Amino acid sequence: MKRIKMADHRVSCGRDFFCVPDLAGALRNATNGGFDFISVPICHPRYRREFLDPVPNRTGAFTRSDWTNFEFVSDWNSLIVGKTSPWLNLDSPNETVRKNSEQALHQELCYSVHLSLPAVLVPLKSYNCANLAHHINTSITDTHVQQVWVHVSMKSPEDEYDKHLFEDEDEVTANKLEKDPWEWWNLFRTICANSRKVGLALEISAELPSEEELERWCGEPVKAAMLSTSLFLTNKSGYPVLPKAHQALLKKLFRLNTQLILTGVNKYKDKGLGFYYQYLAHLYQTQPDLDNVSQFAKGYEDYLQCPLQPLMDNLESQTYEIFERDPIKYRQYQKAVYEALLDRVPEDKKDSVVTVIMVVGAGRGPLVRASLTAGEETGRKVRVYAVEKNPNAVVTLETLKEEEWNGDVAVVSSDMREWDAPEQADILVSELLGSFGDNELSPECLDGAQRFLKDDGISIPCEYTSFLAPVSAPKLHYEVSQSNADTSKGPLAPFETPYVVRLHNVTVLAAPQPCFIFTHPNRADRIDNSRVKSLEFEVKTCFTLHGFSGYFETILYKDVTLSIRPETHSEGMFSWFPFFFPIKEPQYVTAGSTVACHFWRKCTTKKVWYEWCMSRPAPVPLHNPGGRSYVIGL
Amino acid sequence: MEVLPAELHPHVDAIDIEEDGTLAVASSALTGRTWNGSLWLFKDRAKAPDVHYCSAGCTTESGTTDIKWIDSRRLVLGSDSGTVDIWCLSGSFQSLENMATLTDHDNTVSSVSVDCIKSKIVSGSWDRSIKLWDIEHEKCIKSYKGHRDMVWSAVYSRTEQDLFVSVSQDGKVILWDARTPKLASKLTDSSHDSIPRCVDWSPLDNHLLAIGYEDGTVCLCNIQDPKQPVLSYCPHERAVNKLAFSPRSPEWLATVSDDMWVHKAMSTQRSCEAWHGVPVDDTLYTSGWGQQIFSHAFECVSLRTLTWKPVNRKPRQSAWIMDAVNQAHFNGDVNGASQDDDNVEETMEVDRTGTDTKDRPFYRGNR
Repeated sequence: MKRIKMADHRVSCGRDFFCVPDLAGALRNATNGGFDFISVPICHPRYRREFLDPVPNRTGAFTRSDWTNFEFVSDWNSLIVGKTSPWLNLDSPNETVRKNSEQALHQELCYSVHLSLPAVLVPLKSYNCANLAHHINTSITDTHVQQVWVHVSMKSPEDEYDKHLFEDEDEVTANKLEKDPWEWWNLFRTICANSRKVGLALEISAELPSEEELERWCGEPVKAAMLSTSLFLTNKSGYPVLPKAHQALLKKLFRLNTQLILTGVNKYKDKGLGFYYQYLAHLYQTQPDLDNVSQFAKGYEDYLQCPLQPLMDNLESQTYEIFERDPIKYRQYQKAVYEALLDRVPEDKKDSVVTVIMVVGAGRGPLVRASLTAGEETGRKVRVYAVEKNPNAVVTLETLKEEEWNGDVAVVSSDMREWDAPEQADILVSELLGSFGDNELSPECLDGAQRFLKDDGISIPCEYTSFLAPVSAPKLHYEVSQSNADTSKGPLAPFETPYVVRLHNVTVLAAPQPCFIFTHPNRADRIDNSRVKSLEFEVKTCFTLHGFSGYFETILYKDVTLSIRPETHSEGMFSWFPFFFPIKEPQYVTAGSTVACHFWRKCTTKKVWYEWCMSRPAPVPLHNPGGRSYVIGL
Repeated sequence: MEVLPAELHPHVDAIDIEEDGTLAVASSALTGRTWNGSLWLFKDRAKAPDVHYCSAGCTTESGTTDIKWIDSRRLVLGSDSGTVDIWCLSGSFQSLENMATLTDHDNTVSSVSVDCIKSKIVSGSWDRSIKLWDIEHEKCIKSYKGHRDMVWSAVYSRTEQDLFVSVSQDGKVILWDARTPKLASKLTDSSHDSIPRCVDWSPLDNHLLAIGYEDGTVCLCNIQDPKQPVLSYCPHERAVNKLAFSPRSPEWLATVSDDMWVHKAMSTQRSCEAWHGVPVDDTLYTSGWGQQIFSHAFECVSLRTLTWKPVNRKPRQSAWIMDAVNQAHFNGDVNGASQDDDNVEETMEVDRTGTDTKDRPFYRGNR
């Protein structure tokens, strides 16, 4: 749609028409009200075309032609969303109705392709939708239908009809699947393999469901939110406004770049529809500014990235550049070194004692700078070694040493595991953590480097813990399924690889739980960095599990910490996006049940990898056994 | 008022006959550039749909879905745009004037019906609601959300002013009695799981309903004992669009269907002989796709097998002529009739050409 790209700056709101005597007129009408697009029936909603023998011999076209008096022909592919006919019932037990509906749907979809409509709205009215989903799936693979927006109401008609009207409350309660529209949508989306072409057009109900259910909806690919004029209240000045809860929901949906569609008749005859639009535009404009992290992450939402392997690959200048811009991380490191220096060197000895700080993995020097500053602030004398294995980064370090730092810094171009240090360190400072804590092999590196740490020396960080949580992420699952990673590893490989991703259109279904813990220095006789952990999560609502999100927390020194776990996230820190471990087959999990997963960290002398599987609610085979799809090289 | 179109719109959605015999016709364009409609009156019914002979006509902004006479001057119209429109014949009876365009529905109005004392209108809509309208004050007085899907039809009882029945895509037939607080009760016919599409009240027995289903079945059902259909038969292969009892000979029920057949059944007579009791000038009107309006009269009767021939038209709506018929002419207790299985059924083909009426003694189709 023309305006989609502008969605960042202003609301994109369409106007729905259930009856369109004159298409150009409807478009004009909506444009005058400020609306960005319209949704209209592809065929007259009452025109039940017949395709089965005996086919009535009707002359004339089955709908109106593209030959309208639009200002631009391109309006078809930018301003018009088509709607399939309300009488279509592809899952009718009546064979005549079903077959006829199949053909009519096909006819309408083909016509929408002919007109290059940017999206087609298809109503979903019950759990009984397998055949509809099948036909939509066929059309999105076989034709050039651009987007199918499945129109689902938040509340089922079962919940919305007025039970007080009836004498007899007996009504055999339909089973839960049939009553919960999310179940309908979940089924539909799953049948269509979570395809990117199938989006959700969510009809917002007057009475909003529970917070958990809203969260679950917000984890779905909500392309459009359908707002009925009947949802609006009238404010003191006589203009339409939405209730508070709906405002909050819309602001959540705006973050997903959801477009709006206004449905229903204008309740303000004297005012015109423009006032609805203006209110919604106002709501969009007044949403709070993005926080630092969100601003930094703009454009990276739900974008899958392979985790960095800084041990195997040398980072590029740009990568360093981005990391160094983090306003929080180095402040915390500086604070940690500051505290450690104070603890280590009493005030009366500050002029006599020189503290040896070794920065292992110095990169372009931010930790060196933080250490030097901490030394200055505490008044403690420091001697800093900047150890870096990437010869390209060493160039920068040498330059900085020459231009900014003085004799207090020694630059060492070597792998910390091999370096033969000239003296023992008091403090070992490193930033080797990945999104999942140990996934950039911080344990292995620090184990190698602690040789040159004094027995009472301090490691910053001294401890880190990874966390896992079950997530519903249909969009990510689809992206994973489409990724054509190294084909030599077989078709399973994309599902057996963890990703770094800014989780956005995702629902986290239970609070993250700690997984693997590492402490440094590790003075064990035989260091074993392999781990195994079983976790159980209680889930409140039904959902489909697509994988696990991973986070970490670290203690740099005493109470100085860094975290990307949502509950404790270091405010404003953007250096790490979460981890995502996919599972190949999405798992349907019912409300109140337990998700049990098992994670392994396996190591050899050459590589480290993760394996994972599930035992509840249903067994899921081991992913990445033996590191067949994904390993981290040492 | 807009310029009258030169002819009916192609899709004749609804027809209704006033007591004085005036035929009201509502038509729509479901294809083409403009999806509007028109309303026509024919004092001389036989001349319909030739608009040269119409007594009044007007265009409507959107398509029309249903039409009912309120009295000899006023009509109510359901529209695609979700309005309930009241039209009135102006002083000269030559032109139609829009008295009210009642908005409140959020989707197409699928049916309208007027209560027996002409004070209220009930409208059913695809927005799943049913609304009651005060005719005199031209406003909505009640809105009921009792259905879970599109309402196909809502029809007032012929004799009880607060009683109406509705059918919906949700498969439910609901009886509404506005006099009671818990006013709705489901007339669920457990023996039949198809979707009801149309409903009408028997003029003979105010407890008797005829319901037409999507699968072509027609059920007669007594609202006092809804679980046990009085009669169920399947005259059509496709959805039943409309059904109508003959006011003059209320034992006759006509049904029209997507299968392009019109079916008349004497489902309630005791024996074949009763066939002869049908007044010779009883006429059934049907309408459908392609500007079609047919009259089907039966004069003499000799039961014979008709050749089934699909035709290229699709009757949508049927209406019996509403001549001044004395209600006393109706004979027989409908319920009592079901003891006897000698039901008479007849199926007639809608005349293909519509030109030759003389050669068809059985049913006459004309245009």
